[in-house]
Amino acid sequence: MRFLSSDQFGFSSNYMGWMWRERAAANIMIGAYWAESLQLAETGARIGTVQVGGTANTHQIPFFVAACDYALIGEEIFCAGAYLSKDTEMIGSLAGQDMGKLLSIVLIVLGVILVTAGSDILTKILSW
Amino acid sequence: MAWYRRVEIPIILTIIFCLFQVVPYFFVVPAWESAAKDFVDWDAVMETFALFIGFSTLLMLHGRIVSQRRRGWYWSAWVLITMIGYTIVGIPIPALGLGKGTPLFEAIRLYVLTPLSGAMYASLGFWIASAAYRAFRARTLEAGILLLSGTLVMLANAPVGTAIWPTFTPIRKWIFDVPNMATMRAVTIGAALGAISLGARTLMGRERGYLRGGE
Repeated sequence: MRFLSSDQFGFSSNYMGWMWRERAAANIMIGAYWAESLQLAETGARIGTVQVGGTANTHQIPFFVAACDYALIGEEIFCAGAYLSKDTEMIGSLAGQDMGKLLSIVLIVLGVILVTAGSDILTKILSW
Repeated sequence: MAWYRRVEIPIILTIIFCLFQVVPYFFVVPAWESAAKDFVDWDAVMETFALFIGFSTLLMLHGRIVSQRRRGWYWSAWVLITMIGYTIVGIPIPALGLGKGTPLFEAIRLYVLTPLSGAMYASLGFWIASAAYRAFRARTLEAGILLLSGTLVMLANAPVGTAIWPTFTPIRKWIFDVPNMATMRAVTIGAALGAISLGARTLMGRERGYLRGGE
């Protein structure tokens, strides 16, 4: 484990140089990424490293999709650990997450129908 | 295993401090809220300690490279000079003209750090061109759609595009407002649910990634 810098571009320039000099075989970038995402992913792509990129930052996802071999999109970064561990309870939390998603979809569709019909009852209930 | 190395201790601490942050969302307990705010302040203190550890490891790493005259040792020497130099400049001794906000400190920040950061940010344009070249090769249907939508947005943004055909502007607006917005909302909702699920796993002590696997 090596500390690079607390500054965004100090970190990215150090990371790129390090990856380039040592010809990294694999580059895994999961977490909160901002403008440095493409700099890191493109450097990795140029030296031919196997890359896995994942972030919940919607503005940076396209960069990871374009430059990485494998991209985790949004919620997938929170599921990866549970999915790979094969732990029953952790997998169970993923099932719960999917149920939450299903509930969200139902509420969205119901909300669209009700608002289109001129009723704001669902909005009132949810903002209570 | 020694008691202080047991994995249960950080898990118990995590659960306690998670609860301190979660409970004020649901219940109004002024004393609890005040304690939760104090813990957030502790976070800043711990970050400073972490930064100090980072500073120390950088000193050790680059010091070793310089002392062993490894390849590119002069770059490490430069890192040490700038790092130690700026640290000294930041030490608050107003009598010597040192400290945050002094002319020397601000000059280094304004005339060295800011232009360097600006240059790094500006280089993004070239990275985007390089990534776009790879992403825009229409090998699959998805890449073809990306190429088409990207071209339409670029034409709408470039003055020459709208001069040729003004309808590029409403097309760009539609792309941003309908398919792009819908996708971003879906990703945001999914990520929020994923974060809640991760939080629940952490709260129950099941998520142990932050403990290096923690078995």
